[in-house]
Amino acid sequence: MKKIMHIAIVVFFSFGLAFVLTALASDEASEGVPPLTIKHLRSDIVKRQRDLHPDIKLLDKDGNSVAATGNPVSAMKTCGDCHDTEYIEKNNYHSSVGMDEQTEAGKTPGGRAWDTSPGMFGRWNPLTYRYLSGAGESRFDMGTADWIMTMGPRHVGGGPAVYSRFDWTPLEESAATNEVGPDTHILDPATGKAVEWDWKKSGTVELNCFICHIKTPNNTARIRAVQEGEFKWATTATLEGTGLVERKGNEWKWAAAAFDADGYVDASMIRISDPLSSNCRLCHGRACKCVDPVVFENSLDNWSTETTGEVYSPERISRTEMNIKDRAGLMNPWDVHAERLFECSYCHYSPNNPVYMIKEPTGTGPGHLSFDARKLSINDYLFRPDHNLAKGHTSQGTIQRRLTGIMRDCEDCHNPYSEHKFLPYKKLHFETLNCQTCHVPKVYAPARMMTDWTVINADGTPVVYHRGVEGRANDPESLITGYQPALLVHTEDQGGKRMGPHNLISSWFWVEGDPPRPVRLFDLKKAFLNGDDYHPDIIALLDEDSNGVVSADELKLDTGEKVAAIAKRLSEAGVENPRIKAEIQPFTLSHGVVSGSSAISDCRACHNQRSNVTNRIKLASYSPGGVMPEIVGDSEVLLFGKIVEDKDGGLSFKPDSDPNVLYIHGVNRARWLNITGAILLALLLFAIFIHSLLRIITSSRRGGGKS
Amino acid sequence: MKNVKKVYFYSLYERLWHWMQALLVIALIITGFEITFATFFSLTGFKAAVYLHNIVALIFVANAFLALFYNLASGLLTQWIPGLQDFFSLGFRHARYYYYGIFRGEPHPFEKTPEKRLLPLQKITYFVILNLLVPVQVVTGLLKWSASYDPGIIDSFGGLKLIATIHLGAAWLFILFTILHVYMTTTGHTVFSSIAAMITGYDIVEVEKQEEEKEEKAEFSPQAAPESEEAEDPEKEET
Repeated sequence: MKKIMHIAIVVFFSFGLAFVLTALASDEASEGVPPLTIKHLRSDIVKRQRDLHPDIKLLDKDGNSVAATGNPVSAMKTCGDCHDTEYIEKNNYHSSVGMDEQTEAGKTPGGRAWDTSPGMFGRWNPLTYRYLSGAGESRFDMGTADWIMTMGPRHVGGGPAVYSRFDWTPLEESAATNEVGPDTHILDPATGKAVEWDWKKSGTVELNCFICHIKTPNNTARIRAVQEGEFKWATTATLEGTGLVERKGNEWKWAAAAFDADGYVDASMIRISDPLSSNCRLCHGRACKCVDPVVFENSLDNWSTETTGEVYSPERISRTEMNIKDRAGLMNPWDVHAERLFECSYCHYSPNNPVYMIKEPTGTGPGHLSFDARKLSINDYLFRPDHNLAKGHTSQGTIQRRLTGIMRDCEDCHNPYSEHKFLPYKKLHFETLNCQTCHVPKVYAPARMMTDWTVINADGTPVVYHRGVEGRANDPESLITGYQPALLVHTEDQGGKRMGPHNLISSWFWVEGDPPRPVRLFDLKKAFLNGDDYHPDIIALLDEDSNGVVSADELKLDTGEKVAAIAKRLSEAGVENPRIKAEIQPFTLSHGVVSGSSAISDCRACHNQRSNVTNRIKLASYSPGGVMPEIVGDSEVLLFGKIVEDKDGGLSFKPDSDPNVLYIHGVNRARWLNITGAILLALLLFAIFIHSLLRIITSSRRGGGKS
Repeated sequence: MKNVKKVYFYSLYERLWHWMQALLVIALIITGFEITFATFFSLTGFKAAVYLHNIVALIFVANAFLALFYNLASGLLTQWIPGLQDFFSLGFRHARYYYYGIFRGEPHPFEKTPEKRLLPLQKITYFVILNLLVPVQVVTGLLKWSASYDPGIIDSFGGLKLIATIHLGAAWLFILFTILHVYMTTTGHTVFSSIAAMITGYDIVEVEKQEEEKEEKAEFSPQAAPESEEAEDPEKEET
């Protein structure tokens, strides 16, 4: 019996080996035969497959091979042969960036009086400042083409970079008109007047699949094309460096040798892949699996790092080349998930990806099901992947709030009850605290603290202050100290409230008119500058030490006279009723996570009136014009506490825990009750003292004995 | 000349029960103080204080139920229940002694016996504590504890803020009671005789007065205090 079994096993494996060898030989011999691929692919499209992804025929917007026409590549056409790129573009908030949620100015829920959407296209941002003008506005600031050149470096294309915000018709079809319109005009930075934009010459920035789906996109070349107004070449520029295309002078030339006779290129040249963290970092900030010493820069190009101090990297902080205080002892990685080789897309996945899909947007699934087992096949998914990527609960993530909370949360992978054995009242803690509350105890990179647009530097930029650094950010001599985030309660998708770590960025700026609008950067420059330097009147106003130079310390509106003088100069520049406004934008921290051994486990870190819950967080080094900032309405953060003036003239937020929302023992207590109790206790002790004293006196008068 | 003699008042179980509850109440006050005023006070550490507070509270409640069972089974429960007169004439008479008579060396208006060891004001105080304060504290404590398993429960009772405030208020009353209780022990035959009684089981009673006032006290105590030797000698009682 044993012998028969041995023979059977040998025969089985022999057949298996023969089958594999035959298959390989067949594959070698039958080059040109479509290999196994997704069902939607037509055999005439799939010429060869030398990579996981089939070879690609790069097409221009007319559907012709770029090798033949020399035109810019169109990802919509190229990828659209196999993937439903129209569906992808429409279901993609990275592309629409709020254009599909537009409202009239001031009608965006929780938004500012001049916001027209909750996304980057319409929601004003004091960090980027320039205001997207609407139709018929007298003081034109930023038209759509301006917006692309300004915001395009952080926009994937499509949406407002292709279509009119008014009727979703292609911008290239916008008729030339003398009437100033935000789709047809841009601001002339020299004159401050609106001038017509030639869409036919510039083209538009189509949805750029390559920026996220190839391993080494040339983002620098893409940004340059966008900023120079060569919109139609932006996608092509992304491929620079792959050997497919190169820029010669002012022209882009396709490398004919890289294409076969039918116009196909080897997909491995482009290195198509799932989106990697390194793709996300191109717009969101430092995020990579890099093993080289982490060096980062605080700037809006590193958006997440600038706004929160988050660095999504596997490297140990001790090995960074940044000048971080006590870094030798910081053995944690920048983010424990990055250390465990997590890509961003593992949590921020496509909602209809059958591999990851675990939650549905609120209200879209059958109400009686907590989990719908009916998923797309992988073929159907690859044909129409939903690009409204799963997102979490953040105060700054105002776009597509309906998708909030469908991403993979901590609890979807971790079982908090199997760990946290030390923690009493586990469920209560887990329901009221974000995991990051304890697992992001400190941020080790500087983050933006204050943006002051009430004055500008000579180069037209605002005065900016960072927290977590002694000295100026990006100065190699500055010591990075990191900062402890503010623990604030924010509302979640189901109306629940949780406490989590936040950075608070305060901003001061001028507004004009009624309803108010931010004063144009052009007008600020006109009021402050004279060529490349300050206007003599500004120097006379701000140069306190009379050395003829407005130093960084002098560049502030810290007196009523200075405010009035600038307001007068703005009025002379045509600004109507200029006044200063200030706001606080909370930024929720979700990354920079540490493992349990480094997380907060000391109860008194929160259960204490001098704790992380109540620690002051600096808002500003000074208060321009004495204006107190207010929290932006759409942040969904409960800013419970008070803004206090510091001894150095700055402003700080002194948080407190709202006992009606989150009652924290050791922090919250009924003050009136304790005072009453203490008074009663004192009265009782006093009464006892008097009573016993009288007993002793009367007893001694009676000659001792019992009293 | 008044004669005094020792009478066996408190059985071993009662004494152990009493001191255990005393320790538990003190532990609850200390740990509760640490949880509430964690900023200023740390003895065991916040986490240990939370665990200790919960454990001690559970033992306190269990011990209270044991006492309830003991008093029910022994028939002593009735002595904890104040009569109507305790709230009025007897209560006032008792109070008058503390604010007036005690300073003039007047004899105590009521005599304790092993069967009627609680005086009018004591009855009223314990009645309120056992029927109001302890249940409130236990229920609010359990509600707070329930948040560990289902935070929704406490929300349906008004939320943690309300429940914690009630719990804190009751705790203050417990503190006041405890201090007053300790002071009142000094108003016995001697300053420490009541405390000694709760240690040894024997309290001192004035025999002569007991005899003289027997009839007078019949007004509030229809059944004359038993004078049997059995009550005085626990060994005999057992035999």
